Parts: sequence; structure tokens; C-alpha cells
Amino acid sequence: MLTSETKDRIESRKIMLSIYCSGNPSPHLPKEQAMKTRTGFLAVLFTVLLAAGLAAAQVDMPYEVPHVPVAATTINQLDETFLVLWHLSPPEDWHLYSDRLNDSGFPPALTLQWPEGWSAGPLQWPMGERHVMKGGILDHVYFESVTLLQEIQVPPNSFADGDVTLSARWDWLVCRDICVPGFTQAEIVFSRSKPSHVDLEKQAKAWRALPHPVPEGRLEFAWTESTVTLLVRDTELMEFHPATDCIRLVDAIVDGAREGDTLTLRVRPGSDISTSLRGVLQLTKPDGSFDNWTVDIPYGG
Amino acid sequence: MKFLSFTLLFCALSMPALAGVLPGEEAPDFTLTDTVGNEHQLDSYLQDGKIVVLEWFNPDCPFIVKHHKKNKTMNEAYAKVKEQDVVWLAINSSAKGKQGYGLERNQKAVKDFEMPFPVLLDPTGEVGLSYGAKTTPHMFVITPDGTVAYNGAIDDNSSVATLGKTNHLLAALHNLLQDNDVKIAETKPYGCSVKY
Repeated sequence: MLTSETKDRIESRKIMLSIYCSGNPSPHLPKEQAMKTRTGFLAVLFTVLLAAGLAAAQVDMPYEVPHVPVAATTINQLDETFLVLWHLSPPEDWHLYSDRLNDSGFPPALTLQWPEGWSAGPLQWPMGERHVMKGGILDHVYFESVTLLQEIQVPPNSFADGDVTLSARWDWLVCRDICVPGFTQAEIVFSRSKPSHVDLEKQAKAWRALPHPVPEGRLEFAWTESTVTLLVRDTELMEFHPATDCIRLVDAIVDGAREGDTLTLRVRPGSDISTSLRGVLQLTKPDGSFDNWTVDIPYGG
Repeated sequence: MKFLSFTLLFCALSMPALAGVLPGEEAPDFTLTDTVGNEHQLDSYLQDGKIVVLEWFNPDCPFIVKHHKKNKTMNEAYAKVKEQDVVWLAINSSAKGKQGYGLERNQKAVKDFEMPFPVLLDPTGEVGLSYGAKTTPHMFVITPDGTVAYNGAIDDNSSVATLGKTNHLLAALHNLLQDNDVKIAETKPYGCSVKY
């Protein structure tokens, strides 16, 4: 079904085409001016054809083509150290993937040519949500905006000529009942100016959402040959989100979330025992607050 | 709490699907109809001494588009082995109302992608669930004795645009065709989730 806008565009296209095909746009104009007019016609014709083509292409689209806006906030920590907050916002009802173990999809990927002498630390990913689908498919995803952190070291005198602006490309896949890949070109500005209060609040919020090391003595664990049991006292709910290089588990869906303070994970027979139980443990406390801990427990069965 | 209860209930319902079939295990038999009405039974191919490749398929998944339209990964791989008693079956387990479902849609895909092998329709998802197929594509290789010899990805690049350097499926097939054990019998498949 054609929309009225598309019909209008097609009509405009027909009119423009008939004008151009009639020959000289205006036989009364001087030759040079007529050429310019013809070039103008060509440009307009091309634009209209492109617009009509895109509109026609979208007529059959069963969904609005999603886009993931990306914004970057840079915060000067020390003289040569910056913290970048990458904000990625999937459209409503769509989700992005985290960098943890997923059965489908893939996490957003950053491509950025850093200036010579600059060094970028790894992207730091906050806790995602378990997304279980029929067929035993488990992904760890973000249903809402997500902020990734990255530490950047710059050489001295990098700002002799003022602020530095770089261009970054983010490739992503967003899914709901369907999946759509795409990319976003984002600008990132590095400045020595003092960070604003708002930016510092964003930083604090993003930092809190990251997984942190396990506090001394809080996590107890025990291995048998084929299972590992984790115990964290005063916890109402435990979830384990395996890392991509985690030791193979029998069933991360069934074993990976439990009410109470104990979580038992079965290790798949024949797994590479040189690997560890790696991932993030999310704990819901009796007051409803969360703790996210990075777990790395060598196989001990 | 509600979410957890729902998740656990859902997990319980999904339990039979979680097992899947691993390398060394017996491949579940099935009979499915393709887009031109022909029936295909796994066991009958195996009894004829064929090696069978199963490719989970959804014509509208970007990863399938990567390997069937932007590149001809599957067609080219099939061309390399089709003279050597290898049968290739694409299976679409999309449920009614889900992406990629339907006879007409898949007939069009066979034509558009110039597929030299059939697409079998599995709208109930029974076959997909019995194999533990999770992504499109998700590849399985079955030897004539009915054993799964390979389960995993087509290649080693899980991006939606770039081809991998190693085609795991072809490597497995070459091992089998030279009467060797499959060196890499299991990899992590990548792609869209199967739309059960």
C-alpha cells in the first residue's frame, strides 16, 4: 500500500521526468544558463528519484528501521587520563547485546583510530539482563540505554592546539522479534576543561552499574567434580552471567538464577579444566538493592 | 520475584530443548517437506550412505543474508562437496507469525538466493528443538551411521558482514571425506535466534 506521501513523490518524479524529457528546459535561455538549469534539473531529479526510491523501499518494511544513537562524554580524570562514557540507546522494545555469553546476536563493536601515542583501555560493560527464549536460547542484553566506560591515556602536550575531536564508529545489532544490524558514527571531544557536575553524576552512575571485585570474604564456594556451589550470605536472589570464556556449563538457563543465597552450577563433562568459572554474579539483597561482582574461580573439581 | 518465577517456569517448559545433540551422539530422525512439496527423511539419506549437512535457516535473518546473498558461502561450500555423497538440507523452524515463516516466503528465498539445495519447513519447531538449534545459521554434520560429527558455526567470524578465515563446516567435511576424525567437532554457533 502506497502512502499519500509516496504517491506525491512519485507524481513529482513523473512531472520532473516529463519536464526533463521535453528537451531543452527553456529554449529562450542562453546556452550556458540552459546548461546550468539542466544540471540543476539533473540534481533535483536525482534527489527526487532517490527519495522516491527510499520511500518505496520503506513501504514494504514491516517495521520502522531502528537506529541506535551514540553519545560520548569525556571526563578529564588526571592530566593525561580521560574517562569516556559511551552512551548507547536502543529504540523502545529493541535490545542490544552485552559482551557476556550469548547464544545469539553480538555486542556493539567500537572502531576508532586513536591518535599516535594515545592508548585506550578495554570497554567496561555494566550488568545486562538475562533474556531467555524458547529453544533454550539465552542472551544477556540491555533493554534500555547503556553506558560503557573506557579509560584513555593521552601523551603530554596533546592539547597544545586546543580540544581534540575524534570520530568513532559503532557497529551494532538490535533485536526484538527480528534483528537488524547497523552502525552509528559518533563524535567525541577531548577537552582539558573541568568536568561539569552533570557529567560527574553520569560517571558515578555508570560506575555503580559496573561489576566490581568480590569484597574480601563475602563469597564462599565449593567444587565437586562436576559442580560448583556459590554461597553469599544475606542474599535473596542470585544470578550468574557467564563470560564468553567461562568454563562450559551444562545449563546456564536453569542453573544460572536462583532465589536464596546459594547457586549451584553444573560443569559440562569434558570441559577444559584449565579454564575458570568466569562471569558476573548479581546479588539481590533483602532491601532490594543489587551488588554485581566479577567472578573468576579456577576449576577445582 | 515475578520475573524469576516466570523465568524458572519458562526454563522448565524449555527443558527438553536444552539437551540438543552433541558430537558423537545420535542424530534424531525426521521427515519434513520442502518448498516444492518433496518429503525428505534423514534416515533414508543415511541408509544410502550419504553424509548429511543441516543448516538452520531464516531468509530474513541478517546472518543468513550474509551467507546466502552478500556472499555465497553456503552455495559455494555445497558445490565443493556435492559430488562426494553429501546432502545439504536447510531447515526453517520459524513458527507461524514469526520472522521468516511461510511457504511463499521460503519459495521466494530459494529463488532469490539461487539455492541449489532444498529448504525444509519445520513450523512446529519440533526438529529444531530436537537438535537444539539455536541460531540461524546453525550447522550440523551427520555421518552415514547416524552420528553427529559437527555442531556449530559455519565459520570463525561472528560479525554480520565479514566472512571468517576458517570455514569450520568445510573443515569438518574434509576430515570426514578423508576418513579422518573431525578435528574441531564443536564450535559456538552465531547468528539470529531461531524464531520458535
